[in-house]
Amino acid sequence: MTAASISTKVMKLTSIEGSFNADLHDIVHALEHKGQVEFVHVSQADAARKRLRAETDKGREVQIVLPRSASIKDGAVVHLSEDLAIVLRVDTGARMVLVPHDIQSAMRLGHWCGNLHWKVEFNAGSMSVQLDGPEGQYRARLQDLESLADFHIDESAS
Amino acid sequence: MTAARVGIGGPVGCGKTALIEQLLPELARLGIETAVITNDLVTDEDAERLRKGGQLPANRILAVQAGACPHTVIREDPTLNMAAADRLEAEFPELDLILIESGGDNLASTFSLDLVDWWMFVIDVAGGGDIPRKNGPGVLQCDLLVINKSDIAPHVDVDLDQMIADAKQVRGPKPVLAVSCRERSRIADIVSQLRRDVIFA
Ligand SMILES: Nc1nc2c(ncn2[C@@H]2O[C@H](COP(=O)(O)OP(=O)(O)OP(=O)(O)O)[C@@H](O)[C@H]2O)c(=O)[nH]1
Ligand SMILES: [Mg+2]
Repeated sequence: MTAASISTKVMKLTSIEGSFNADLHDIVHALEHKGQVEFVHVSQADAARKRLRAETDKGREVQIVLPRSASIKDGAVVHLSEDLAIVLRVDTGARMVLVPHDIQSAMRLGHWCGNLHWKVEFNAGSMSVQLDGPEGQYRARLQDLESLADFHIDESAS
Repeated sequence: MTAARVGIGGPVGCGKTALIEQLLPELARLGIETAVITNDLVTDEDAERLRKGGQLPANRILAVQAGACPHTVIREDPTLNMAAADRLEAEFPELDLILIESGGDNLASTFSLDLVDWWMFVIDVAGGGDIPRKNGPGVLQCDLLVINKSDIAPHVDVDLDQMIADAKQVRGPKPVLAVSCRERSRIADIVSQLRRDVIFA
């Protein structure tokens, strides 16, 4: 069913067959009851890759080689056969939520984080930063901004 | 299957092109079909140098001119490099690997994973033994940190073992390799790492 070549040890997985969270839920769930599903945990940072060497939770080594147009999402099924499904689990990853107190500060904050090349998501009234390294390094960069902008870190959100 | 795309970044003059010149014969020996994209500021200097070297057919070496800060075309907007890689892949379907050399930059330069599958950052002993301790994003985030020019460490007052230890300290479990392109030492180790982590051929 899937374009995977199976050698003695390492499995090469070259396509995304569907999603455990959507179209393939029932099929994969049925295999799960028989203990025939293996999960690969992928960090948020690694989810941007198209090629990845990884290990399933059952210790099977896999080489993931996806088409350039594909993208790794939580629940992606990268192998599906009669007796085995391999599913990618993307860890949500650490984030830090910044809340500006006024428009001026919001602009400063956005400009600042942009200059630092941080990956951010905009939400209503706040900005969520993806932490690709230790949180302390991100906090240190924000210290210099404190005198220029009014904002706080939403400690309950991270 | 697509060709693996591997980035090579690092400061000006650290030996990125020299490393490619050492990697190419080793890759060829293993039958790994390779092409190269070089990035320079406003010239095709590195591409011309590799073409003259004759280790690859000239049309397997493409040049991209960044025009401005080199990191802009490997991170902020890598479309030029992506288009060059797509072109190589279309023209040479047999490719296993495309090496992408960034223009010489600073310690903050990193590759977008939209462009490459895996990337190494090259620094050299002549830049100073304290470079790893400065926690540059390039040094911290790359998949492999290469410390080049190990041959001249004593001449630039660098304690190489200490430099490697400092690099390992800031990088945690991620690999660090000290090499010398001049003496061709440890080049095969880089190729092994590449094959294991990303080429899969
Ligand atoms: N001693 C010594 N010199 C080296 C080594 N590797 C490179 N060099 C020298 O370092 C200089 C710069 O090497 P390049 O390969 O051009 O460096 P680069 O990083 O490609 O430079 P840019 O692309 O301009 O940023 C050259 O003069 C090389 O001969 C090495 O291992 N040992
Ligand atoms: Mg160069």
